[in-house]
Amino acid sequence: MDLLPYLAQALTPFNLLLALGGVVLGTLIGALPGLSATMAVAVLVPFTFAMVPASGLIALGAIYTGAIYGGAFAAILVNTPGTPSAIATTFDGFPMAKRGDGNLAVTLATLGSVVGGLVGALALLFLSPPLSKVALAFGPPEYFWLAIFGLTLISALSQGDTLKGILGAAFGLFLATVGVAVVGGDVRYTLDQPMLVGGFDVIAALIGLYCIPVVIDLVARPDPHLKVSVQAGGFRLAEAMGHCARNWFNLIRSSVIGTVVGILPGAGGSIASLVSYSEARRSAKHPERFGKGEPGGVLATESANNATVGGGFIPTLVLGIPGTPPDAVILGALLVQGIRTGPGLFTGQGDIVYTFIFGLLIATVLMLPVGLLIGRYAYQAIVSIPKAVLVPTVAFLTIIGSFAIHNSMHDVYTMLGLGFLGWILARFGFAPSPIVLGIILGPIAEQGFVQAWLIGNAQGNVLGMFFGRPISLAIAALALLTLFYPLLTDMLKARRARRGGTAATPRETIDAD
Amino acid sequence: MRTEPGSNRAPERARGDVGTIVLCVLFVALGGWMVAGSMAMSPLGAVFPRVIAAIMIASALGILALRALGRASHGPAVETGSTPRRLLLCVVLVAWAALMPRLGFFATSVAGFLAVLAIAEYDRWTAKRTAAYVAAALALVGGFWLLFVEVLLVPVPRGVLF
Repeated sequence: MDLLPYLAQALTPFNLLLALGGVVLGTLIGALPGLSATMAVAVLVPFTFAMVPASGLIALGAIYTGAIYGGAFAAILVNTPGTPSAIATTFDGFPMAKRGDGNLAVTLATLGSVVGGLVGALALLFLSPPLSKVALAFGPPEYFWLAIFGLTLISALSQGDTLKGILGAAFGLFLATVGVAVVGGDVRYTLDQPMLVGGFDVIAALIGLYCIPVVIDLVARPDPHLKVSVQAGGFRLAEAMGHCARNWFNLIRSSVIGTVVGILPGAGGSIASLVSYSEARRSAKHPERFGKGEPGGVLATESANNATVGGGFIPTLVLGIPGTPPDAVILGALLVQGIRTGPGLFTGQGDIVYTFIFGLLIATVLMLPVGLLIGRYAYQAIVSIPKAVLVPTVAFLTIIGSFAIHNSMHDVYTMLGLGFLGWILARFGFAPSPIVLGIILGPIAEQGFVQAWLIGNAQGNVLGMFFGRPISLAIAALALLTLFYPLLTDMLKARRARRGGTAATPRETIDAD
Repeated sequence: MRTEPGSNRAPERARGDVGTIVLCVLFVALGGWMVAGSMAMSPLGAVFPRVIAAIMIASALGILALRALGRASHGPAVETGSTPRRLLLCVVLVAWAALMPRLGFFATSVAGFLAVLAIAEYDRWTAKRTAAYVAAALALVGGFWLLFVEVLLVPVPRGVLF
């Protein structure tokens, strides 16, 4: 396939400007502790509605990749991860900054993010078309099981309490059933309210669930007035390149881990960076140096979390199943734009997809100058923005953004209502990601379930329809494994602890990116 | 990321447990309501909500059962911080959304912005700081207002003011 025309479309001045602006904006938001990449994408989605789909996607992809990268600044320079994806970056980034190598750590994080982002985006470019051909063989039961797999994965990984994750996903699925049914046309659970006949708007729900709890919790504490230690000595680019050359295998392995974790439905940068960090430490010649300012640690986490961006887009675009939480938001934006993701997207609307992929590659490359300049000259100013101004700005963007979806106050009310509910649920351990995935995957799961049920009924073999097809069985087995994996690891840990005479450590809890 | 603190948080944890129990009971009730509501639907429309309701009820009862057996995972610690400020913010956001169609987008947004700013500010108010904040509110709201109205052509509510 001739891809050059799509590259030319991505290189139009407007798309280049969007890629640059998106990376800058994403990096700024990601660099502010407390604001996640998911929130950055959610709050800025409405701005893309006025754009053509490819340009809107480029802007969102650039914001996303910039925000994931931007989290490293706060992790390295103030020991507070700007986004959950950068948690593992604090392990070695901050010790480097403490000993006066903060500028080197920022340059390493930038190079790692660019390499990881490029590996993920290239995987998206070259793996998606053949995978979309495989996906053409998927029928309703496969789509049902894929949706269930996505939900079980996020339920198991998102909060550390699988049952609460499942309950949250079920609540999201319930919200998705409100309104006119996707199959059959029944009007369900609307409480006779006309505004509910169309169901809950996905984007309004996402903005509410991801942004309002953050805003509510931001006002609860005083501004920490973070101070950035001044780092002398320039970018130290040559030195950082030397570290990259010495860590080339670590860099590639972490990028591949990030891409693969991104492809898994629902798993995001925080998981990828923790997995790649532990793998880098395990296989290092001097594992004892990790946690004390080892450049390889920064490279591993930053390449992995940025690789999830491209990796996560693979299931999002090929199957319509979001790979990471920000992908769920972007998927919602695509639905609003009238783009039906799935295998047909690559053949029917190839110009949009390939232009976007090249735009993502360009945005990733732009991260290098943008990141180095922001890290060197602007970070102190960014982190000095008073929280008192930041909070109303985000609140204002959530209100105007949700209004702009359909130019309707109903979406603002939906956003606020679900936001307050999400905050209450989050206080008691119900993470927003399973609820959001339930809302996004609900229609896909229902359509697959009902169609498979109908075909199975007609053939007199409902169970065979769900459990008798090889691909379905494989996906169902993966879903079951995902569901019971935390339980199994807890049991194994408890057994080991009993043998060793020490208490089992609780599983780490991971929020959305 | 929420982290499990090692400090003594027993009262907060107990409050968290009560909240979880209340929420689980509400989820069981919601599941029951979903099943009851599905009775009036066609078989095609009812099958999926019933499956979800069954999962919802089973997982909520599972959480309750684990708590009753004392085998519940502790989950995230209940967030600390100023609850009055949180509640005040919720009230302001609701008022912001409710008044916007009546008073107009710009006026409500400037007022809402300043109200949220006042809630989020912990430091002492000085004349210089107040002036800077008002300028920031006018610049940010005005900038976005122009962007949405003039560039993105979003018909924002006008109301009795503007």
